[in-house]
Amino acid sequence: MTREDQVMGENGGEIHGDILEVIFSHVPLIDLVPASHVSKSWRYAVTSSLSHFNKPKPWLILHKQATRYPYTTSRYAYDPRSHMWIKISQPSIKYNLALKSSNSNFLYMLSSTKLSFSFDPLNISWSHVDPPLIWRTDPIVAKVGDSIVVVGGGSDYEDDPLPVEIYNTVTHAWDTCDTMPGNLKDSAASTWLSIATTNEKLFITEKQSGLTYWFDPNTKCWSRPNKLDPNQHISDHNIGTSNDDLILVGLCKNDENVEQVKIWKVDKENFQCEEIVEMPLVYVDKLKSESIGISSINVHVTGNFVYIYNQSETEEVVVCELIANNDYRWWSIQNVVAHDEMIMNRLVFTCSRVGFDELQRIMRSENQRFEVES
Amino acid sequence: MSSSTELTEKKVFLLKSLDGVIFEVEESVAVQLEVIRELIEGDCARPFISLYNVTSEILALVIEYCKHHAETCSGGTSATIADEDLKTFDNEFMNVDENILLELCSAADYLDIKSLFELTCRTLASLIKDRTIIEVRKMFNVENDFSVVEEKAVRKEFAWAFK
Repeated sequence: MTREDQVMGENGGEIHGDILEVIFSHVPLIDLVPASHVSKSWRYAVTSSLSHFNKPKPWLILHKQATRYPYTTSRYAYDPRSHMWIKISQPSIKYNLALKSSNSNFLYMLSSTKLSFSFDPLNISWSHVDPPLIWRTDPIVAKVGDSIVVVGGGSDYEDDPLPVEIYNTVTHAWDTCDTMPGNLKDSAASTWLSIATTNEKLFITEKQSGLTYWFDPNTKCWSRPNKLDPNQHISDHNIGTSNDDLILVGLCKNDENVEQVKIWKVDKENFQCEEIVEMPLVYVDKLKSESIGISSINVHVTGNFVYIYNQSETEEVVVCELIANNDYRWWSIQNVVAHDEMIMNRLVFTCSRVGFDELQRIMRSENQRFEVES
Repeated sequence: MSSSTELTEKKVFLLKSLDGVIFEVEESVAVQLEVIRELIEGDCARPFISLYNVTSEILALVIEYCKHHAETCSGGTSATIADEDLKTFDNEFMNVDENILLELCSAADYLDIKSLFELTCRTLASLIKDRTIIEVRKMFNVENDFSVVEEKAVRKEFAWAFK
């Protein structure tokens, strides 16, 4: 018998599966893809480790796009499971228009001749369809079930609020319905609104006032107006869906005039808000810009992850992981796209659940490669 | 270590490796091996403790690790200096051949030494990164048990992971 045989027992020198699972919990997700092809027992241990020890977590994806033609784009992802930034290789299509995203992992480009959109985790597949009937700048575009809903946005010719247009991804047809509520007329562009989607509804909140409506693309109905009002003055309301819950992330000031960021769970029926957690002040400080503090925040929510950043200074992103049993983990990450790169570029943030099977599929070809950023 | 044990004579225990080598260790070191702590508490640690899964080469390393950690933690230095010292020690301690690392990891698991197990797992994890599938098989002594057809398909689809 060799020495290894004696030590490791009957496995003949191979490390035990249980130990392997713990080792794999420290291996970045992208490196587990080749590891799963080492042997059958390694493949089993990878799958088991991912479901028992260190599960995949939603990635924050930054699309850095040049502000001028040909809109050269590079993409970076932050994987919170592995605590690292990854540079994703060239996108699958040429982005020859300005990339936009209203929330989550839904990415789109709109021109007068077509609407292109993508909603798979790493935006590999794109659909190109006829544009909505009415030209609009900066609308809300969101995916709700099988529908792509286009709401609001400014127009040079129209004073009235614009009709809502719905593209059905199954029948490939456009449909027009009621305009968005008049109360939102003055803030109809996506800059002033925060949205959240479930499979059935699109929730829209006016960032400043907290005025909230939902829209159901199946019945084409708008809800009555609701106010998100957790008994505290909030200067900036942001919403998102965490698993099935609607949450509100608000920027507010306490009695001593200190800025605070809080997260509430919102009842989807009566819009009652229940505070769940407050951002520790050390992270609030990270969001502050030297000159103007925090004027406005942006929020991306997927699964149990909330990513929060200052709209006018994106150098730090604060992460909140909502763990079961009212437990929360906060940390901050430094934006990998350096400040001086932002002069000729703009950043679009998305947030995606990137699963292991998804990653296997993507990494199978030579086209999609990932490089670890320092 | 509590003050009451310091006053009494230091207890020692004898650990016997797989290949029959006996090591004398102080209690403060022995109790870091969770398995042995339980034996001591159950008064089953005499005349010596046989460790059937650990060779003398590995057991010597394990004892060196536990000894350093026990001394640093009870040395009266400030927590931050102790932390720094342990970090430096751990880094150097992990600078060994991969086969030794694998055995250390298994031994730490068997002897239930949490910090050493965590340390070796992290180190082994870092060795998997940026290596080809062939290199990983060799390093971890893994037998490729995929069928010829399966292996061929993987080599084609994930050609980059073999280069």
